[in-house]
Amino acid sequence: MQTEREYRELLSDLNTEKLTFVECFTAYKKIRSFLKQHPAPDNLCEVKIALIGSFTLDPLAVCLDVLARQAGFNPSIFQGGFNLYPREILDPSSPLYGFAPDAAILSLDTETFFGDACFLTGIDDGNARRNKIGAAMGDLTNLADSFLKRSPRSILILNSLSLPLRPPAGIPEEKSRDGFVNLIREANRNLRERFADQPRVFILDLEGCLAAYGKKRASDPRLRYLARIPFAHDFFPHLASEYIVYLRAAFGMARKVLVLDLDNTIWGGIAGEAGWDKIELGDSPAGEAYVDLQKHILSLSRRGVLLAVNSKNNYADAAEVFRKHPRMVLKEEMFAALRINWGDKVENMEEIARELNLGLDSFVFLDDSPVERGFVASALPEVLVPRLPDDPLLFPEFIGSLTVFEKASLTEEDAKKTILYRQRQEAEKLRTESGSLEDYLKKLEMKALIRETGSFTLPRVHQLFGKTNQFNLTTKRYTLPQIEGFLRSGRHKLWNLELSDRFGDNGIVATALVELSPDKKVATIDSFLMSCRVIGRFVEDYFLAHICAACRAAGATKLIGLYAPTEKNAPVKDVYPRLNFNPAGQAEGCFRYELDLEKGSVPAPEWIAPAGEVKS
Amino acid sequence: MNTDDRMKALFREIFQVPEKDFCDDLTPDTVREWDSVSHLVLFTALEKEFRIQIRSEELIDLTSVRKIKDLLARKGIM
Repeated sequence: MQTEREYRELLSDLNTEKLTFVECFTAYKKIRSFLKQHPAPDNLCEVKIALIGSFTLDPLAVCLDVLARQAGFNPSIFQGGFNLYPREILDPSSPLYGFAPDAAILSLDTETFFGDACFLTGIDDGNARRNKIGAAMGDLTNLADSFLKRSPRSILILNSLSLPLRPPAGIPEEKSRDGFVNLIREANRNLRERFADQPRVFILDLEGCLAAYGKKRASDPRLRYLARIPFAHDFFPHLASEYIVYLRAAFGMARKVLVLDLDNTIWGGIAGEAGWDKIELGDSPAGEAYVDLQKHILSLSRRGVLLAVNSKNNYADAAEVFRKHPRMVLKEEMFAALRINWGDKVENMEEIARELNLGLDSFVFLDDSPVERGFVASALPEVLVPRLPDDPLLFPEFIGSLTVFEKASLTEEDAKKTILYRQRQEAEKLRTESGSLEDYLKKLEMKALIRETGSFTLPRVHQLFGKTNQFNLTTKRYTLPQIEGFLRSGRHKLWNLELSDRFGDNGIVATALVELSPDKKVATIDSFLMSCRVIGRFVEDYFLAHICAACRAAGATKLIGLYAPTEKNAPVKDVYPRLNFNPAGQAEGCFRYELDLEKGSVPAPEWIAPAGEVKS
Repeated sequence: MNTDDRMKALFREIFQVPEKDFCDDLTPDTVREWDSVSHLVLFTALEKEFRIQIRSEELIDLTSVRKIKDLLARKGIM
C-alpha cells in the first residue's frame, strides 16, 4: 500500500497538458530507481511494447514508458536499434520476436524513410519519384504483413508519413500529380485503405499529431544532425500520449460513463432562478457553445458512453428545460441515470455507480464549479474529474479532445447502450412488483442464444473481456489478436451468450473461454464473464450447464473452474461451489474447482429457454 | 535564483545529482546518468532555461559543469 502510494506520487506531477520532455525524463529515471527496489503495484495492466523505427528511439521510449504507467499500464519496452526495423521484422530469430510483444510500434520519419525523394536533386522526373515512393510504401506494407504473420497475437501501430514544411518544388507542386507532397498524401491514403479491414493494425496520423502540436514548434533540425532525432524533445510527450490512446483502446481500457452537472455546464445560467426559457442555450456566443457541447456529448453516447446527471436543482425546474427548450440537444431519455436533487454530489455519484452497476473508475465527471469538482475528486479519487476551462466558449473543444473514452471498435450495442440500460431499469421495476424471486425470473421470459464466437461477434466479446470487473472469474484481459489466436488454436472454445427478455434484446451479455487438454479429457474454464446488467438472473447457471454438456459431448471427463479473487469480483466466489463443482485446492492466488463430467452435472434454470443453438 | 541554483536544479532533474553533490568538477565520467542521450537533454534544457543558443561545436565541448558555466558566462549569463 505504501509502495503503491509512492509509485503513484512519482507519476502525479505529470498531469499537466503542457508536459515537457525533461519532466518525463526525470520521472522516468525516478521510476526506474524505484522499481529496482520495489515491485510495481499489482493492479496494473501488464503490457509488452516493442518500439522500432527509422530514427533514434530513446526519447520516444522514455515518454512511452512514463505515460503508459500514468495510463494504468505496467509496460516492458523493447527498444529497437536505429533504423534496423527491416531486419528486426524479417529475421525470425530477431530479439523482436524473442520479446513476444503485445503491441509493436513502428515509428517512421519522412526524411529517413523517403531519403533523396525529399530533395529535387536528381529526381525531377515525376514518374521516378512516384516509383521510388511506391516502392518504399510497398516495402513497408510487406514488412507489416510479415510482422503480423510472425507475431499472430500482436497489434501493430504504424504512422502515416508526415509532410515537409514546404514542398520541394514550391508552388508548382500543387498543380502536379507527381509532386512530393501529393505523392505522400496518396501513399498515406493507400496505407489506410490497405489495412482498413485488419483489426490488428492501427495507423496513427502523425501529420495530424504534428499539426495539433505545431509543426514548426516540433522541429529542431539540429537534433537530426547531431543524433538523428527527428523532432524537438518536447514533441515526444505529445506523440507518446497519442500512442497511449491507441494502446488503451486496444486493451479495452476506455472509461464508460460521463456524468454531467447541469447549470453552467450544459447550459448557461441557473434553471431554477432564470426559468427554462431564460437560460443561455443558443442565440449568443456562449449559448451556441453550450449547444455544440451537447452535440459532442450526444456523439459520445452514440459511441457507447453512458450519460448520467448529477446536479443540484429542483427536478421540476431541470425537467422543464429538457422538455420545453427548443435548443436542447440532450433529452431526459438519453440518460441512463439521473440524480437531480439538493443532496450531496458524492453520495449521488455512488448511487449512480450502484444503479448502473459499474465501478467509479469508469466514471468521468464534468462540472463547471471548482468547489464541486474538488469535493468529488478528493472523496472519490477513481473518478476522473477534468478541469473544465473557465470560459464556456472553450467547452466544446475541451470535451471533443477528451481521449479517455476511445475504443478500438464500435459495435451495434454501443449505439443502443442507453436503451439497454433503460430496459434494465424496467426489469428492476418488475422485480420490485413481483412476489418471489422465481416469480420475477419467470415473468422476465428470458431466452438465451449461445454461439461460438466468430469474426462478427469478436469485437463485442473483446469489449467484454476488457471492461468486465464484477462478474469475472479470472479477470484476464486479452487483446483482439490474442482472442483471435484462441479461435484458431484448435484447443479452445470461445462461446458467447445473447440474452433477450420481455423488455427487449440485451445483446451479447456473457462469454466463456474453455481450454482443452491435449488429450481432450480435461476442459478448463480459463475465463467466464458476464455483463453486470444481467447479474442476479442465474444466466451463469444456464451458460455453465451448456458448457458442461458441450465438453462432455466432446469427450472430456473433467471440467475445471478457476476463480482468482480481486477487489471487485467477490460476488462470484460461490459460482462454482453452488453449481456442484468440488473445491480442488488453490495455487498462486487462484482457486480451483472440479466437476466430474461422468458423475455430475450443472442444473439449468427453468426460467431461461433456449433461443436455438447455432455453430458458426 | 542565481545561475548556480538553476544549474543545480537541472543537474538534479536530468542526472539525479543531489544538490549537495553538485560542484564544478562534475563530468560525464563522474556522473553515472550523464551519457549521450542525457547530454542532448541537457543541451535543450540549457537553451530553454537560459534562453541561449548553443552551437554544435560548443555542445561537444560541454564536458564539465565548469565548462558549462564558462559557456554561460561567454553568452552573458553570470
